[in-house]
Amino acid sequence: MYDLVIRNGRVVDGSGMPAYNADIALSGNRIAKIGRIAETGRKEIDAEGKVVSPGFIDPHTHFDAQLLWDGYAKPALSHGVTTIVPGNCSLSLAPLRAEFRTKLVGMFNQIEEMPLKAFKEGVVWDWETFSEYITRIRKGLAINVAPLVGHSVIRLWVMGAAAMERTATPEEITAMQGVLRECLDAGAIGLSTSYVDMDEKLQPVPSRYADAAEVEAFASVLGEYGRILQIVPEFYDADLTIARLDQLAEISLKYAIPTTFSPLFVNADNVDAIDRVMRRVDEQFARGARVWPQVQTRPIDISFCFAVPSLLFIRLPGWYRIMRFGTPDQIVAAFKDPATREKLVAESAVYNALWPKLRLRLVQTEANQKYIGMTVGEIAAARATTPIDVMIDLSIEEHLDAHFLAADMGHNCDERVGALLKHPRVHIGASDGGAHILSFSTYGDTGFLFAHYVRELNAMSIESAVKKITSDTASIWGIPDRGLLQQGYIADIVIFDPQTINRGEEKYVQDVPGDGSRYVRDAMGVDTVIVGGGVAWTAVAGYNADTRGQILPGEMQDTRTLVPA
Amino acid sequence: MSGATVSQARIAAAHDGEAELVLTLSFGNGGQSLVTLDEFAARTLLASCAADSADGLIGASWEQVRDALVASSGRYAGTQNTEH
Repeated sequence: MYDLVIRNGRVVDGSGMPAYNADIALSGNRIAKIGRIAETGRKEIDAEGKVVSPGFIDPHTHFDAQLLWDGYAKPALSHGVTTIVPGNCSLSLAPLRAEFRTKLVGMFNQIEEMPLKAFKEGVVWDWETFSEYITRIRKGLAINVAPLVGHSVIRLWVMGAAAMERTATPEEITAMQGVLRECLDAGAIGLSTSYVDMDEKLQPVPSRYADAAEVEAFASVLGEYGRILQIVPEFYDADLTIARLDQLAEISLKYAIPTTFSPLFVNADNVDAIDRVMRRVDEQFARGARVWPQVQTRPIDISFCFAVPSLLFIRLPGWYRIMRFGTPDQIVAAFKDPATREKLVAESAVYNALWPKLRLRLVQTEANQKYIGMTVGEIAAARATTPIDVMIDLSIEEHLDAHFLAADMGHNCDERVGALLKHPRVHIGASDGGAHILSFSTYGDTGFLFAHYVRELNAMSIESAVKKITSDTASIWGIPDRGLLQQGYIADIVIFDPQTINRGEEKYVQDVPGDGSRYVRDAMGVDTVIVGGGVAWTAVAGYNADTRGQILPGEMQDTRTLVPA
Repeated sequence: MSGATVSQARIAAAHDGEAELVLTLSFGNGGQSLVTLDEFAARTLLASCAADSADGLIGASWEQVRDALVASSGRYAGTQNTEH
């Protein structure tokens, strides 16, 4: 008898090959058989009409802190993500000496917008080394975690405050190589570094003080293990990005390691730059280098409230002037003044096509809670007024604490983004899951991939889309035994409805330690998520207490004790 | 580099959900490059150009753009945290 049998599903196995109908039997944490299963299972799932695929792998997240209080990385797991990679952009929570905790929390707050209060009230700091951090998050882990170690924190560990001042000496570089080896031995999947990020004082993060010799010294250690290097290049400038990817290519070739850089965005005014970057990526792959650009699926939204100047209004001088120079009381007074209001309304006419589409994200008063999630146009209809008057009135009523969202303002050229996503040398990722939690939701990018680029635009097949976020990712990152539905592979599996899988509407929830809040999206169309052979989440019952998440690729001890098929 | 001026100003969405200003600099030899400004740099450039809208930046010199970027990145100069 098998432990679990999934029957009648449409198997999209992650290889990119055409889907087929079959049952899948699981024994322990592995796939025991795929075909027509005559034997029964202790548990059975009917997947009639559903797709059965490998669990999705999200290679660019910042769940480092959330994993300390939430081993499910909610709601990522419910979207079908069974493996996450935290520790990107040179920042991980280990190794970290106690005296630098405040410093690192400041960097996480500045770069990833993770609230200070959540760290203060949600984190018991009982680790310093990477191994101790892994031990800490392993408890109650329901999702697989393939953690990167951050270059900036290794610098802080070895160099102290000098990490934020200068290049390293040869002795310090040797010491940092030793620390990286310890982290890789403890389960790190690779190293992350950044050439752009700033700390809480708007000074460069420690990794940016490294010279090329230091980065290459790290790469030589990664080469000993065959592990990956992730970087954030100067992504806003095509020439600098190309220079960095050339540097990565040389490292990749010399030390035989995979490398990845993120993000790579498509905006209306940088399509030529994207073409140039991708041409260089193709050239470097032709040389045998591995330099994987990461591209996210979701468009970029712009959020604003009138208490903070936003360049969204830079073409509206009257509005922008008020936002720049006014105190909140002065701005409210200006909105209330009939003459000023009349001028603002007149000036705003140039964007009359935009205002009704804005969505209300957040208000403070009870009376206006009913409007959250509605478009400004819908609220205007309900109030029998105009969209621009709704924006002004709500801002007055909320004393400017009314937050609006302009959706799809960047990375929204379907044709260009779709072509990039299916490019054989583009790596789908860059979700930033677990970061920017007070600005927007970073969850549901996989559902959006299927809903928008597979179902609505027919830009790629479902087999290709699944391959992109499963076996491709596992291969690029060197994650063994995952990413495919094949006999003997670890049973990380998602069952979803191909006609309805999507991301839900963005919503504001209070589930962060310290009475904190964040924006999330619920999964749509996902039926069941299986991690390591155990049901981790279902649409009916929610999260399961039977947690089977692993650290990947894990310590050497993990590798030796994997349960055989 | 001499003579490069702003030929286009567009609003773009930054990956952190903020709006940013993307300027196209056009060079005398026909070349172009893009420069991204945050809100502080954009505000500084508006002031130096005596402009009140993004369209008023057209024709601004690259030196003015450079100075705005320097002003933005220099806001916290000298405040580096050495406490630990």
